[in-house]
Amino acid sequence: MQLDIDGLKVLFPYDYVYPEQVLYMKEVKKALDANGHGLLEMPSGTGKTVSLLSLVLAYMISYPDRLDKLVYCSRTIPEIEKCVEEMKVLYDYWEKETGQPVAKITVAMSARKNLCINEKVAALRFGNTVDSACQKLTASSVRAKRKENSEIEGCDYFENFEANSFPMQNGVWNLEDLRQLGRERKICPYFTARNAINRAHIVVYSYHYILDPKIAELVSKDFSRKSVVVFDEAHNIDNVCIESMSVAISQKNADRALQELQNLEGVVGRMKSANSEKLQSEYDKLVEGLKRAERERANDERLANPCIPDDILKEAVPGNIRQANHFLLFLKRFVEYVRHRLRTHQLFHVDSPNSKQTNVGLLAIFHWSGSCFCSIYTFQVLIESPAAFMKDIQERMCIERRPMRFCAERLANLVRTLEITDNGDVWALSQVTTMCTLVSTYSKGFSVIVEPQDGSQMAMITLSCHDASIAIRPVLKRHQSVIITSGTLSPLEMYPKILDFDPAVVASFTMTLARPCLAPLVVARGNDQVAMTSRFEQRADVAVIRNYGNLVLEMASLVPDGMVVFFTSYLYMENVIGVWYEQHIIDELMKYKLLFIETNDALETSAALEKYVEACDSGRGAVLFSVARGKVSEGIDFSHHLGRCVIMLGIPYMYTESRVLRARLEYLRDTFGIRENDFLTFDAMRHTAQCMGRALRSKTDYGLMVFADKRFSRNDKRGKLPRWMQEYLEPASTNLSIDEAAQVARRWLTLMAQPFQKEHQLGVSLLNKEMVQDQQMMKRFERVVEYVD
Amino acid sequence: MTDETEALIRVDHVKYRKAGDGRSPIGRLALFSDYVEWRDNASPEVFTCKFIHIKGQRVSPPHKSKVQLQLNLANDEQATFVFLNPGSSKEDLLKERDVFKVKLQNALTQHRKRVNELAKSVESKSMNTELEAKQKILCEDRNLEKLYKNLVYTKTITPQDFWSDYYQQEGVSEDKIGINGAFLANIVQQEGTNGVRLNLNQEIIQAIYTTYPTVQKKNLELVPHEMSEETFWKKFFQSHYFHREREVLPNPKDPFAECVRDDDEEMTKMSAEKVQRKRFDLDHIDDNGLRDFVHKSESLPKSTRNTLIKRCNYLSEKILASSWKSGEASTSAGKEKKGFGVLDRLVVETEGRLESDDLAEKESQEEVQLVRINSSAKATQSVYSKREMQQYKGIVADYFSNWSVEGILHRNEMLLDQQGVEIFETEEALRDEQDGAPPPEIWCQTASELTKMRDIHSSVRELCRHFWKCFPPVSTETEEKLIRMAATLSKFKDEQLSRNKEIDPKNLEHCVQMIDLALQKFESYEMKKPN
Repeated sequence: MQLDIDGLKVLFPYDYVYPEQVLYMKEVKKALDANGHGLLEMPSGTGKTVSLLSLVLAYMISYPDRLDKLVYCSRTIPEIEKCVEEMKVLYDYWEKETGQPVAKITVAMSARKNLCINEKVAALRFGNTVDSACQKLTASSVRAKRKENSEIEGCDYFENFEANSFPMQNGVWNLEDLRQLGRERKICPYFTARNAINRAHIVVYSYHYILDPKIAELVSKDFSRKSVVVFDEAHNIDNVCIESMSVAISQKNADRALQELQNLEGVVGRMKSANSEKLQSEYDKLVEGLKRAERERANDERLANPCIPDDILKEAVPGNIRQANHFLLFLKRFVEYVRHRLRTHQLFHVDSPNSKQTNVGLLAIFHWSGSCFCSIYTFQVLIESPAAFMKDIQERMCIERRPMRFCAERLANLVRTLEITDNGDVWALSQVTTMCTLVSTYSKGFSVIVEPQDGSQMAMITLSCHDASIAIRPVLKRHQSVIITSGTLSPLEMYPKILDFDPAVVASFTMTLARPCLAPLVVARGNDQVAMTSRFEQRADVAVIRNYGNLVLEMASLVPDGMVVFFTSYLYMENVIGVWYEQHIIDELMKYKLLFIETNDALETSAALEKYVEACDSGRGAVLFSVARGKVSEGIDFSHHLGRCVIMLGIPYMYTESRVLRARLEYLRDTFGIRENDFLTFDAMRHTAQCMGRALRSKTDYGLMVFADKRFSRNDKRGKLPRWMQEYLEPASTNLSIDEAAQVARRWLTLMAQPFQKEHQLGVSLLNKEMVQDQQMMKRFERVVEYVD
Repeated sequence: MTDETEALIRVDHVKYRKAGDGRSPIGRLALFSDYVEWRDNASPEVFTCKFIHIKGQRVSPPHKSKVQLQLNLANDEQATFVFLNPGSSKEDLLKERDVFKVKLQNALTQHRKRVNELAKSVESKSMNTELEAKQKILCEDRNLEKLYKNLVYTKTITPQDFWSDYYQQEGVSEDKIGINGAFLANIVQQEGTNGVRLNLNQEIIQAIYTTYPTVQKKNLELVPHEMSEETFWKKFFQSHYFHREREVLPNPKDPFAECVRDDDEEMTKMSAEKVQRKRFDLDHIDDNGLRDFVHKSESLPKSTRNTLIKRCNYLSEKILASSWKSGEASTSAGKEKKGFGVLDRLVVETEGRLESDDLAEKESQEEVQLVRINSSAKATQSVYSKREMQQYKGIVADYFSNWSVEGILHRNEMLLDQQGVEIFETEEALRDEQDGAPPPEIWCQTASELTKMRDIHSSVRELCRHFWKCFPPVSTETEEKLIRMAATLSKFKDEQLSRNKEIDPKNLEHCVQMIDLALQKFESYEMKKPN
């Protein structure tokens, strides 16, 4: 179908279109026209991806001088693959309509584990093992050695890739296509893709390739300015930003770093006696600051500087760390300092005159009178600014700021000189240097948190980034348009604040529906009128847990097929399951459905998930217990029969006692003027919306959404849910008891079970060509968009 | 007797210790599939012990100087064997002994299982599912029942031929009933004098066995040789199977303690298996290669709750697995998929499904229902396999190359398939009607006559159907059946139609015609058959 979006001719590859899609395209076009950024919320299942792709492709073809690249960032592999598949459909349609193939390259990019076709390497399956196995075969030092000694194993695919460079053809290259291409031409698909993304017009990959400075510098630095970057499913983008700039080092890893350091010393010593010119030439290069002249080869990838490009000093490495052994000594001092900080809690800084002499005695006394001991114990958690940290390190170890800033790069250099091909040999050390560089570069937006050993919890030093805008700023600056979009971005006004940018378009779309296929219910109390809530004071109450159990039982007895129950945290889930088991609720539940539970272990959870799907597919029906913020709630869709009902037991607030969170809240309050409670509620509600949204993945789908907490009845919580959810939440069902909810659900499920055809949707939530052109008709959908200032 | 069955294991240099006797002889100990044998090296003395007589076995503790194995016999006697291979060290001897012990244990359990099954099959009234299903079909369809009576009771055709169309074993592959998810919770509990009484029935025991095969293994191993059935189940209800939150300590007295290890092993195996549905593989969907690098997860301490959660998952997984046919893993690849196997195809479809597929114009499903095959709707349309198709093609090609045009054009010699007959039949019927068929009262006089005639007619139809279905005879089986059916038809004609004096032959004319047509066809087929 050909659409006219504010004067732009857009080819849309289907005969029907949702009204939201048309309006969505209009907003995207506005942002592109303004060369500005956009923040768009549209429910999942309304075809965001295809509308975005159609519009941007049409834009690129119509105005090649204004826009020449689309970088589409998604979170998971299936999402990336689906996006590229949509692109294929679009290409085919363009070719059908215009008679010519689209002269653009679309390429997907992913980690080695998904692209490698070297059987030996790919068989390793896990991300980091595949990476290091690949580097062992392809690092330039290894290849140089192989020239002298052909015994050394190499990767034929990579050699072929190097020998004859293969220019990417126009067309769409999904991950599987790349692998296929690799097999046919015997070239390495990973490096082909790496190579191709600079030339490609449309790149589809995951967030961290552009957000994490450690990789973005290697992968995405040459992208043109006239490009649009899209972050899909971006409700968590601030966390991704923060994560990419934070480092945590545990006691164990600090010890390991020291070990690695000693190994490095050994290597340096050996090299000194065997091949001292190499070290000398490295030194010379560093003196001249020539390291940048040497083009980094893609296959020699180390992690790039963890700082964002603007903050990297453009000068030569300072003299005191130029010599390899000097640098190692320097690092040793730093590692020792970190270890010292991690140990500190064991020394008692109690201001009593006799504390120094009776250290051991005190320990015994404190153990004996437990409570007193604890109070001092927690007191030891220390939060300080990077400046304080720098001052302390200067005083104690005489380490200066400037060499610290070069630490990460210097290590990368050294590792290259020493021809260490396995990054696993130095990973703890690279973490340490990352922290070293970050802490010395940034004084604002970060804090250093030292947590002492606490029972089974290991001592930990964390450099925590509080400011999501630091990591995303270069992206916003470097590219003319950035579109942030997701099904759940409410409340929209929060994102410009925490990401510190000024969007040209901010809009939220609701969902037009021909039947009420989402049924949000707020269940606030049990049949015994005891309020249901996961408030800290009440959540351990047996009555509350029992009521939660009754709710789950009731729903399991009336909902067909699959049902997903989300808990606020893993610990809480464990406790509740324990209580339910004692109360025989678990046994009762097994009468209706099979039960699967998410665990801490990703492999176990995947197995349980697969069995859950199998149970739903075979018609047996199952319940899945899962955790908000967990892996399942983030990446897995429970469309159609896999999730006919989602229950959220409580409001998933973050663990507010966490030091990292406290520090971040303070920073947000001081810097952006965001009140602590606002941010906490915002975060809890976006995760609730995420969990709830798992069940509804298209307009033909239907799902019950049960919010089981009395606090959801209050407007300040409910009002922060996405608009499309709020609109279908009836006022009558904002304060239900379990029985009432069951009543509503029963009625609603029978209604939903009726056959549902395309004709029912037409004109209400689905448009054909004539309807789109009909002004009168389109006027009806005015209310679908809501702008936020 | 020795060489009847191959020995599972033989061990030399074994002393058989007899009570009281002075010197014990040294010989060779051998294990067979249902007995243990020991032969003296020096004398022709042989000791054999059938498995039925063995109650259990015991071994000497490792620190004892002698390496011994003791068989507890049913008559409360014991047979003790000492392993003393002069060429091997004590460790080797121990190893040797343990290998023997394990083999014997396995053989014993196998044997007991066999015996139990045998007993069970004799006990039950050999009512197999097939028979039941067939009876059900007959009960549900009166016409079919009558047909069955007329044809099979009178031995006109064999039951196999009859059922070939009406009963398909493969069609009902899901006859195995799954397990109730709450079978453990559903056990009836009663207040006893000291605590609760739990009432088990055969069904629940079966469910437990299918879910936890290790329990069945243990049961065969221990009951009734080491403990009674009752104590076994008592222990079961104290075990982690029933109390999933319990941490189990290795305790030699608890028969289920060692099951924990097996279960744990299986759990790890389950989670280590690759996930088929990529969309649900958390490891696969995550694309952040750096995450492992930056945040290497430290192994978290295991809590007891964790065990409960794991066991809950395990129970559900096992229950789910029990509804798949044994041997056929849920996600096994390859071959034609039947029953639940079809789901795999669906999985592929849903995995590849795009978000905006709802927008695409669905091509309306082509409804191909051109001909109704026959009145007995239960008979399935025959589908030729690839091989048969090849053969059929060959025959047709052969036919055309060997026969003149005139021969082919002759109507009766054409290959008439079933639909042809059908059309022919209806045409015939129509013509009859148009000819002004005589009113019913002239057909026959009484109602009983009418039913009889109807019976005959339907029998003839059924027989003809079988006959025509054999065309083209692509395999020797169909050829045999064809010959058989032709014989049956002519016999039927002789016995039932020609000699039937009760009914006006005019009314049976149509039946005769049908049989004649078939026989004619058979004749021409016989003639043309390449010899």
